[in-house]
Amino acid sequence: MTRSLTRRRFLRGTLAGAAITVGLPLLDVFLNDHGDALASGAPLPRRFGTWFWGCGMNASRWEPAVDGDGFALPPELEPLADVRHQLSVMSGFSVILAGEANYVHYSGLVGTLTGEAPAKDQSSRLPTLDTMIADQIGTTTRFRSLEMAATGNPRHSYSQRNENARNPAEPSALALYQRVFGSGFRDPNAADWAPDPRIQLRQSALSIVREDRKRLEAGLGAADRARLDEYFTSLRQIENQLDLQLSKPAPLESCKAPDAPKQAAVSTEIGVVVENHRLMAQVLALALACDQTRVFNVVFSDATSSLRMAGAKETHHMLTHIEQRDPKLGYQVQASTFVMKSMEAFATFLAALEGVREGDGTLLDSCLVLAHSESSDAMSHSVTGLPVLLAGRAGGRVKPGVHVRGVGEPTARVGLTALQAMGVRADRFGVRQNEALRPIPAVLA
Amino acid sequence: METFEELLRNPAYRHVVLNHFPITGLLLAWVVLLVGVVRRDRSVSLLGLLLVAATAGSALFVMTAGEDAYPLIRDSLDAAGRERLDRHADLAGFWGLGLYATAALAVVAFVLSLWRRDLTARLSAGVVVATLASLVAVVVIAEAGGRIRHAELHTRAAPVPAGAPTGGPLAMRRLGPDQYRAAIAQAFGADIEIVGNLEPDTRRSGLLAVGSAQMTITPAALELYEAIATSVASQVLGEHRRGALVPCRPASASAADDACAAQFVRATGEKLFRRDLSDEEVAARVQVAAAVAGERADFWAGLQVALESLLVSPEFLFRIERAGPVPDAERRATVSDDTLAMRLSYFLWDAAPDAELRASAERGELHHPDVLAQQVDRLIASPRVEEGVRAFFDDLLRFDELDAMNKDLARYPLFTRQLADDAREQTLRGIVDHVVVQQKDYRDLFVTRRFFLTRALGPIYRVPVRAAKGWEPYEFPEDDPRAGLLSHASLAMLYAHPGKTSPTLRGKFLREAFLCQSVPAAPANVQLALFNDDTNPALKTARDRLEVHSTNASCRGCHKMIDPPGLALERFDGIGAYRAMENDAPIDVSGVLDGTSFTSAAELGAAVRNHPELPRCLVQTLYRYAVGREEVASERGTLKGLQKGFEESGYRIPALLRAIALSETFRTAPADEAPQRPAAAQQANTAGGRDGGAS
Repeated sequence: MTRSLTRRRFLRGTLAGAAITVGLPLLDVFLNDHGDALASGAPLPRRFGTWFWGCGMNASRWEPAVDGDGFALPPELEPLADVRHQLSVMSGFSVILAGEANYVHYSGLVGTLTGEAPAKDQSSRLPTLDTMIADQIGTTTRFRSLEMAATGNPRHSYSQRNENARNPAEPSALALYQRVFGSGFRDPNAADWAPDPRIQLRQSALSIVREDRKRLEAGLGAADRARLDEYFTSLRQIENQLDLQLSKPAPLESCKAPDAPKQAAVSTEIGVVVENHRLMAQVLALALACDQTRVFNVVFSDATSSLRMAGAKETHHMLTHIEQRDPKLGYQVQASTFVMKSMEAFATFLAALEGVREGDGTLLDSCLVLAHSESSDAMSHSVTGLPVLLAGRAGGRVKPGVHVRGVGEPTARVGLTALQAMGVRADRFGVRQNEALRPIPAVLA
Repeated sequence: METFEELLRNPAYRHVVLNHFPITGLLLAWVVLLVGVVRRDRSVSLLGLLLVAATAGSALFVMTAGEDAYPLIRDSLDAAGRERLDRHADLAGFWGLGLYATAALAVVAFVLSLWRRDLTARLSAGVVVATLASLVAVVVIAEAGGRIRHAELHTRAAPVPAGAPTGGPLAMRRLGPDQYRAAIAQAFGADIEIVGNLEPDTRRSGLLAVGSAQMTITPAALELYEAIATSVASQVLGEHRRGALVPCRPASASAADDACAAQFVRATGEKLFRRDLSDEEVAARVQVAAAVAGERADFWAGLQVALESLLVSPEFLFRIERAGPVPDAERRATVSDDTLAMRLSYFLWDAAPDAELRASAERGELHHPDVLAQQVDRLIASPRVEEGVRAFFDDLLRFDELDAMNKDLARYPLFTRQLADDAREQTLRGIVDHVVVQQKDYRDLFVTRRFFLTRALGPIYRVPVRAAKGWEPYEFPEDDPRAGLLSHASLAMLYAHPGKTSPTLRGKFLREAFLCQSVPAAPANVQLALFNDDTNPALKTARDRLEVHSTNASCRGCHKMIDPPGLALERFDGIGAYRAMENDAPIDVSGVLDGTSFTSAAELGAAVRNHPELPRCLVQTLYRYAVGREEVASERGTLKGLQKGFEESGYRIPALLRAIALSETFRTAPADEAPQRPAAAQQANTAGGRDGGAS
């Protein structure tokens, strides 16, 4: 590598290194649980997910006027009326660029997920918070996390461990179904439950590779050795997952394998995307109920939202740039329709989680869903006052129903709140100006 | 004035505006001072001293703006550009100090002169000398800075370092989804089913081939590879296939048979690992296979475990490159024979080495010049080289993105998945026919009127296609707008929006992919609403709308570069069908590309064909594709030689493939890549004798 590190870069790098705290397992992860236990007496699992939509909102139509719990839903949040009791609105939180360029439709998104304004376009070196949470709560399930993109493009995923380790998205409800409920699925409620006899054989196959590690590493440069390390970390995880599948899980009363959904067309036409997303939400809800995963990342639309109306010339993203603001209303009418559609879709998503009864409540009670977008005003690519929503009760750790205004504060504070609600032992999240040292008390129960 | 203020808020612009003060300004100041000294005119000298102090001191502002611009600019540059930027920054950081010293000296001289009139002449003369030195420094810094953006200075800008040409660091490249499928098909037959969506590669430096050398295997990806491995293994060893795919019969189906297991592991392993397996690698698998076979009283269950372990191994999922044990006479590391075989075969065939190439590597003779040349010629003469060329252009043209591309069916009722697939195949088939089968000048790809069509493509090209199935060559007449690669439907549809064309996407792609010119991203505060208003009846065509750019200073610079070639393609709509009018206004397709005027898409094709950067860019991109990374300094000489050779061959791609494959940098690596192992391990390896990975 040539002189890519100037003194300035170097300083930034060291500061960043010091500011990342790795989550250590919390021993009291299941203590202090206000939720109910399963019939078996085992505590309910806690779940976390992100839900992303592209191209922001119109602050005048999206941000509630009143802080606290007495707020009325403004027009662009109105579609969420039915789930308002499960919802908190975070407004005014920002990704603070502090000298970094605004990589349009990227900085705002990755800044919220990693707590750092990226120094390069489409490349961030830090892990997204879902992976930090997955390392905490996702180690005992078949899948550490599940990613899906309603747009049908596997590249529409923003979950990553670093710039070279990205988690691709399942592009259809059917693909998601096959991954979770395909041949590897064992119904935990089946009377004749027995582990798949193939599991031990698969473990043997993996162990041969594991034991070959030393020879493989010989003669590799540092960068490739690091990449090989990541391979072996992955290998260990797969071995653990297989291990877990050897013992009978506790029965899960709300677990029921769904029927296979139909294969959807690959299209970014909004009707197709909404339907693909609805089907994905249903499969995911049951994947959670069957405890196949506890972490998920949903992309409803990509950061340069390619959603479009049937017959229209312009995509949502292009509309945010070229549609004239209605002189009387003061906003882009067509672009706003897409924001409304996105919020409707989020309501559908939450309804799918709420539709599954679990213990005394619903699946959503055990979840924390962080919904966000990469811009506030997409026309100007603003990353100030980004829209963030928190939904669910995180098994009693989170108190929904409030509007919090975080003027000038980094969205990493919402991230830190999520990390702590999920039991990740982190007392800070984010880097430099985006570093958050305190969670949002109004949200934590 | 708002736009100008906005401009000044951009540190890069500020830097470029301000840098005239310490350059031209300092020169003027120096002249004034010199006049004062020569004519012994005290007041002119004093004025000169003040001017020198001010202009030399203004370097501080230039430096600050430059520092602020550094991260912004750096990101938009390729590796060579970043090197230039860093050189500029280094020079400025060091010689800039001299400027401040000169400024300080001038201030001191000025103050002293006010106080002691008699010293004015001598002090001024001193400052004249110091200023002259500063001027030299400033010109050196400025020239280095100019190279960052001015491509015309670059030919001189990249000196070839002394010493033997040496290849860059070795790579560990993840098999791409298509390569994975091809490897399974090659090893076990095309009828083996692979279920699941393999992780798509990420494009870096414009190529998936470069991204593949950087991406890792995440748990999600390995989970999928593992699932596929179990499924493939059970298909391969299932009752109907095992007869053909297992070279031996076990003595008993319900017990271990080490000899048969070893035979299978060795034969299959060499296909998957692209080299012979070491005895230890075979033994580890045979042992586990035996244990499983014994425990389950099933020979095939044991064999399946052995096969799965091959399929999930990093040796299969990655193409791991290793250096040979002995450096060459120039003290360079050489890539191992196995690695060289793998590099050659993936570069030229996009597939694992065949038996003959592998045998040559196993015999350790691939580094012998005659053997190497003979093997390279054999690979290039084979029809399989078409697959290699196809894979390269598929990557260069970013055709993988066609899979997720979709169009608005109301606006483009002709669009179907079949159309997109045919359009992709049409382009790749046309390229392979032109550059490999007919061995024509690469540059003529941009002007050729020979197209391959299917019935699905007929309506797009407005050509009746007789054959109901398959491909038909078609020669467009001289006056037809269809000429060359740029008029292909595949490119027209990929570089467009779902509901309309995009001259910007097309122009940017052409610049980046074919001319290797970097196009900076649009500024974050971009205000497209100003001019992209197609409800405005005055702005009928894309050109009308884009021309508003030229009224906006912050857009003009880049769009002057991007728009003309993109607008020349405007008569091809969002799926590549021809149209002469947009909103009832004729579409003007004339423009200028880097000094060459054109009045049609066909003429744009000719301008690209004759562009001096076109062959240079292909050489650079193909080399990067071959080695999976950007070139390093010690490879510059190779690239220069390759460019010269490409020109001399009349721009024949097979000749270029051969030259790259035979270049010294293709088979060498920096000295520190050579394995440094404890003597004992080395000995054990020699004793093992077949440790292909390390040989």
